[in-house]
Amino acid sequence: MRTASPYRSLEPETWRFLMALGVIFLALSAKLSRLSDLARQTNSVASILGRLSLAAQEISCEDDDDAGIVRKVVLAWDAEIGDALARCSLEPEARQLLTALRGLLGGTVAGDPYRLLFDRIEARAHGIYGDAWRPAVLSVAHLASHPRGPDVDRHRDPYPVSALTPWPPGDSEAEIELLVCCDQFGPEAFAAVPMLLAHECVCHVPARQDRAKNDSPFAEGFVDWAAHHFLYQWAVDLGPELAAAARQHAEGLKRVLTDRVGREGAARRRGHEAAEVLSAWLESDCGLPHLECRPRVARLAVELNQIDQPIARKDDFVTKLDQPYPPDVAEALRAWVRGDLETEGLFGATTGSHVSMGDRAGP
Amino acid sequence: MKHILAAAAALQEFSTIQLAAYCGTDPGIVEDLLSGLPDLVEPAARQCWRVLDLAGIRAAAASDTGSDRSVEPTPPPAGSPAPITDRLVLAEEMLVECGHEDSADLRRAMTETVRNNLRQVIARVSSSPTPWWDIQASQATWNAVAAATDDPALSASRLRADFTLANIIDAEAAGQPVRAELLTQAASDLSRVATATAGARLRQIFEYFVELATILAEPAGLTAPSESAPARLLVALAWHRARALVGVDIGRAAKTFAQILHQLSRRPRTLDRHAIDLYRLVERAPGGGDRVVVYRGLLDLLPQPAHWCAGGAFQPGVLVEAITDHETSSRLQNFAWRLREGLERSPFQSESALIGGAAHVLHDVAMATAAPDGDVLPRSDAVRRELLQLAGVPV
Repeated sequence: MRTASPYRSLEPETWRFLMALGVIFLALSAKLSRLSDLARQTNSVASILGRLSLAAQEISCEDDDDAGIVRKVVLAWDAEIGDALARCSLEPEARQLLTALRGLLGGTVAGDPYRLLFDRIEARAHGIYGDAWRPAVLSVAHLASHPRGPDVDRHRDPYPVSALTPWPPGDSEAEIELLVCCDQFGPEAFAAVPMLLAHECVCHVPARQDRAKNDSPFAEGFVDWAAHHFLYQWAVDLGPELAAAARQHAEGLKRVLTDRVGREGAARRRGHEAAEVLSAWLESDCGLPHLECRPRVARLAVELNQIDQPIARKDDFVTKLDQPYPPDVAEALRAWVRGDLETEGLFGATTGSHVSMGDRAGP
Repeated sequence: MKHILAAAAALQEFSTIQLAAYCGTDPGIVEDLLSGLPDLVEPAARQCWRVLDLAGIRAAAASDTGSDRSVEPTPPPAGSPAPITDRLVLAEEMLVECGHEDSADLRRAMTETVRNNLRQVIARVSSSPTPWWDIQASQATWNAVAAATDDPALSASRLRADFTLANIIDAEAAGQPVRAELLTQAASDLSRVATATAGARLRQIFEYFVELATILAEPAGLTAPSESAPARLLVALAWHRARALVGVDIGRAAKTFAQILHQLSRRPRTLDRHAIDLYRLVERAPGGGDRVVVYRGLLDLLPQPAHWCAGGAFQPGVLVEAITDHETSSRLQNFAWRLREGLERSPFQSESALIGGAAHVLHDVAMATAAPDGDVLPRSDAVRRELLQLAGVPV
């Protein structure tokens, strides 16, 4: 009997398709990076991946529960791999990989792989924000086309996935929508899901501001930098095998998003630059140990994100983080580093805003 | 251990779970570690810890050479520095956003962000020795930019237009009067920029500027409610025509708008060539021929064959220069008198009412002069329809 989709915006067949691919990619974690790399280089591996998608598409329409669907997809794909391995013309690297994949396929277990990733990331983000955390739930929905347009170059942008947190958040919880275009949803896209979730959890779920703004150098740049920093730490929670692929494709996705022309790309680049420059300044000007600088900047991003002030003022703060720092900005930062100034005070001194301790949610 | 200690130093006061999240490690490992450092950290309220000896924590981190599960992974690679144009994009996008921001306080904060972004662009483009936060919007600044680059995307006109617009928005938000020179300078610069470059963002900036300028023209002394109805009609028509051009040809629209503002800023109180009126005789040539400046719509009321030829476009589509014979000149003067009378008699003096009123008067004049030229009515109908559309009356 068919299992219902756990996500109200996702049709049952689409759910089963994404579920089957997701649990298989999870099982193949140890070889996910190699699989995505070789698929870009050799037609034989690309073709095998295509056959997996086709098999999942076909079988997801059948009348069976999730476990049954997964079993059938695994069997079908195993047969395809077997056929490929029987060909003498198969490249040696492809043969080695496909043999390894066959061994790993046996570890495929039906379940909700997206919920699994979400739970791990959400738990860590909750830890970062403490009492300021806003409960979050995951929903998954289907996108009709690649989020960056139907004409996107899939070699440069193999990530037909996106995520958003609708604004304003609900009274009791925020909802993270993971948006997936099933067309060419492959191992790279799956490996990029943790970074998408980390971005939403770090940048948007707990944010206190007046409105959402897709081209905010603060939210999409400065705090996104912190989200990347954290994802690099949290990747190990996903399992040591998936961690490498998650980091690799966090970087790949970041490259795609920061390379964009226009205001969103500009905001991301500018915010990331501000964070990097600040990290270097903390070491060179304040004499902080190298290892301490990035966590310091990440902490600043997290605490500023909790201050209930208009996003325009937070963007103003980021704008001022341009080398050389104005004397008043530098002095306020040094006081903050020394512990003589709280983050609210730093924000107020730098932007001229009136901020009180009560403006920050948190412990 | 070292990166847990480094994160502890960064946070200074934290919960076990929080520190574990900062490091991507297990809370149990964190708890065990901190429990073994009573000289460096102490338990605080609510399952939190507080750093007691920051220098000691840092020394312990520096001396740790162990490797364990929680070895610091290589941090994400740093990206390349953001290109100069990013700051310009952000500045201009924020200018557009000011147009949608209701809070005057926030608009002021946003204009400061715009100016800071622009200062940073100027500092980089001109390699200025002045720190970016001290860069002023002075002629020396624009000269330095002009000398440093010929990239139209980073032209002095563009940067000055953006800077001036930010100053205008800031003054308006602060309830301060905006000087006419600022409006005319911004219009001139935007006109130059629109001619050199194009794009959706420039269009949005220009539309916002037009909206602001029409509101601020009166406080800046460029227009006055006490002006005669004909003068106010002509100014209104000029504004409307310029706005209508924005969606068609931003370069022409910007040039037209700059022209309007310059003409308004030169408005005299005495009669001369530049005074705004429906009809003005500029000079009467002894050998025949009158040079007149006249409202364009009046020319369409002339029965054919009309004895006039175009001179310059004084205010395109609104005020044109024509060279006519005496008889035609007198007709035009008569038309202008009747239109003026109709406008001044009307109890409704809003911009739309003036334009709508003009449409009706012109129709009456056309009816009266229909014979012997059967084309007068269709020509005047076209003028009347255009006026009614400009007034927002469905046609």
